[in-house]
Amino acid sequence: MVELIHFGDLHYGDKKEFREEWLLNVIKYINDIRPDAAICTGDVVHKGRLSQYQGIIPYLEKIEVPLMVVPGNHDLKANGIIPFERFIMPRRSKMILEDKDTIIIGLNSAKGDSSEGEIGDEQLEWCAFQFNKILENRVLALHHHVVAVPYSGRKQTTLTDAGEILEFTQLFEIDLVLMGHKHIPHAYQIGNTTYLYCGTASSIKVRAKETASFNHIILDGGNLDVDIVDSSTLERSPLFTKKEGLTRFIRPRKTRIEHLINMRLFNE
Amino acid sequence: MVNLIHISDIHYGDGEYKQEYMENVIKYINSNKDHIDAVVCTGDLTKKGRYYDFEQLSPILKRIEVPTLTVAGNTDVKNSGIIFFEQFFGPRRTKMVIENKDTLIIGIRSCKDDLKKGEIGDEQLAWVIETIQKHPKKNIVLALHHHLVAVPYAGRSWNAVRDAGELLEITQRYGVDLVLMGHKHIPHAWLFGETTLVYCGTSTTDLVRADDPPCFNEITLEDEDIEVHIINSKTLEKEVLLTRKRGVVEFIRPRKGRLDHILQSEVYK
Repeated sequence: MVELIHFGDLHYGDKKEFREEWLLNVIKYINDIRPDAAICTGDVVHKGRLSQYQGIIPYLEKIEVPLMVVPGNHDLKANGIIPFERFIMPRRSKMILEDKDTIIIGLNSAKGDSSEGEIGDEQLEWCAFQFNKILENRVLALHHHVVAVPYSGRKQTTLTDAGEILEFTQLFEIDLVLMGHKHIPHAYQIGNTTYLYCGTASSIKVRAKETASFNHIILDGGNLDVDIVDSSTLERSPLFTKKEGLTRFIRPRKTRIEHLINMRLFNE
Repeated sequence: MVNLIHISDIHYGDGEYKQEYMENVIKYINSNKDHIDAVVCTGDLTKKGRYYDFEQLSPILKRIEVPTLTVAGNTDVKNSGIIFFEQFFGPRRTKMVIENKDTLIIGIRSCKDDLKKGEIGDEQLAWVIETIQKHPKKNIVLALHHHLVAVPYAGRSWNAVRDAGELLEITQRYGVDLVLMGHKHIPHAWLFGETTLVYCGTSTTDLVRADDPPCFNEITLEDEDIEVHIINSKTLEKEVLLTRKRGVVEFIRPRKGRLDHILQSEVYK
C-alpha cells in the first residue's frame, strides 16, 4: 500500500490569484498525514521568473516527505527550465519507494513559451527503461492531459503524442497517471490504468464551482482510493474508488452537460 | 446480441481508392446479411466533398443490403460538401433504432467545412442526450468521424474533437457501450470505463499506415461482452481486434509501432 498526495498548479507569483494560506494548508496537511511521497504536477510558479522560483523554494522546503515536481507550461515561460532545474529538480525524474514496492516517474510535457504539450520519442524511450524494474505500484506524473476532460475549454490541452503515451500505459501496466494543467479534478479509467487530474492547490484559478484542492491517494495493487481535499477547509470528499481492478465510484462531473439538459436551449 | 459492420474512410475520388476492395466489402456484407443488423460508416466517403463523387458513390453504397448509418468526415465537408452529403446520404446527425435487438445507434457530425479539426458543439451534445433519453435501449452505439481519445501512430496533428471531454463524459454518464470512429485509418481499441472505443482503418483505399491493411470491423455486442474482428478488405481474412467479457478486457491487439521502434533502435543510446 502506498499513500500519495497529488497537488499542483500552485501559480506562485500571480499577485492577484495566488493564496499563500492555502499553500500553507496543503503543506500542513502533508506534514500531518506523512504520505509516502508528495507529487506536484507542475505550474509551480506563474511566469517562470527567477524571483518566483526563489520565492517558492522556502515553501517547498517545508514539505517533510519525499517530493517530486514535474514542470508545467507556466514554469517554462521566460526560460524557466533553467531555474526549475537549478532550484527544484531535473525535468524528468524517478522516485523508487522500495519498501512500498512503488515506482514513480515524472516527465516533462511542457516546452518554453508554449501551452502545448508533447512527450517526444526520447522521453518515451527513457520512460520505458525506467519501468523495466518490476515493482507492484507504477505511477506516471506529467503536467498536460493525456485524455480530454470536460469543462476544460476548446484549447488543445492534450499532448500531441497522447496516443503513444496511452499505449505506453497499457503496455507497461501503469496503475496511475497523475496530471494537472486545467485545474479540473477528474478521473478516467482506461483499461487497467487510472487517469487522475488535480485541481489548483493554492490559487483562485478554479473552474465552475470547484474549490482550490489537491488529491489524497491510496494505491494498493488493484485497489485505489482517491479523495479530493479542499485547500481552504481541508475537508475530504471522494473522487474515485476502484476495487480489484473494477471501478466502483467516479465522482460525476455534471457542469456543461447538466447545463444543457436543464436549459433545453436547443431541443423543445 | 447485435452484429454490426463498421466501415470507414472510403475516399471515393482519390487515386488510392480501389474499387476491388469496395466490391469485397459489399460482397462480405451481402453474403452475411442474415446475421448483420446494421452497417455503420464513419465518414470520409469522398476525397474532396465534390458533388460528382457523392453522386457516383451513392449507387455503389446502395448495393449494401443491410440498413446503413453514415456520418460525414472532414474530407466530405470540403467544398461545401455537407450539402451534397445530406442530399445523397441523409442528415448530418442521425439515429437508427433496432427494436428487436434493443439497440440505438447515434451518428453525429464532428467536422466543419474545410477544417480538419473536429468539434461536436453544445447543440449536438444536447441532441445526443435527448436521443438517448427518448429511446432508452440496452445497447447504445455512438458513431462519429474524429477521435475522442488519441491513438498511437496517428501523427502529431490533433485528431481528437476539441470538446472530447464533454462527449467522453456523455459516454460515462449515459452508459454508451460502443463508440465507432474513423479518420486516421488506424484500427484500434481502447477500454474506457464501461465504454469500448473502436477505431476503423480505411476500408477501400491504400491510404494505410504502417503495416495495417485496408480493412473494416465486424462487431458483436451482447450485454457487456464485445468482440471485434478486423477484416482485411483485400483478402477478407479476419483478425481479432478486441474481446471483452463482462466488462473485463480479455484481449486487445497490441500496437507496438513507434514504441517498439524506439526501444529497439540505437537512436538515443
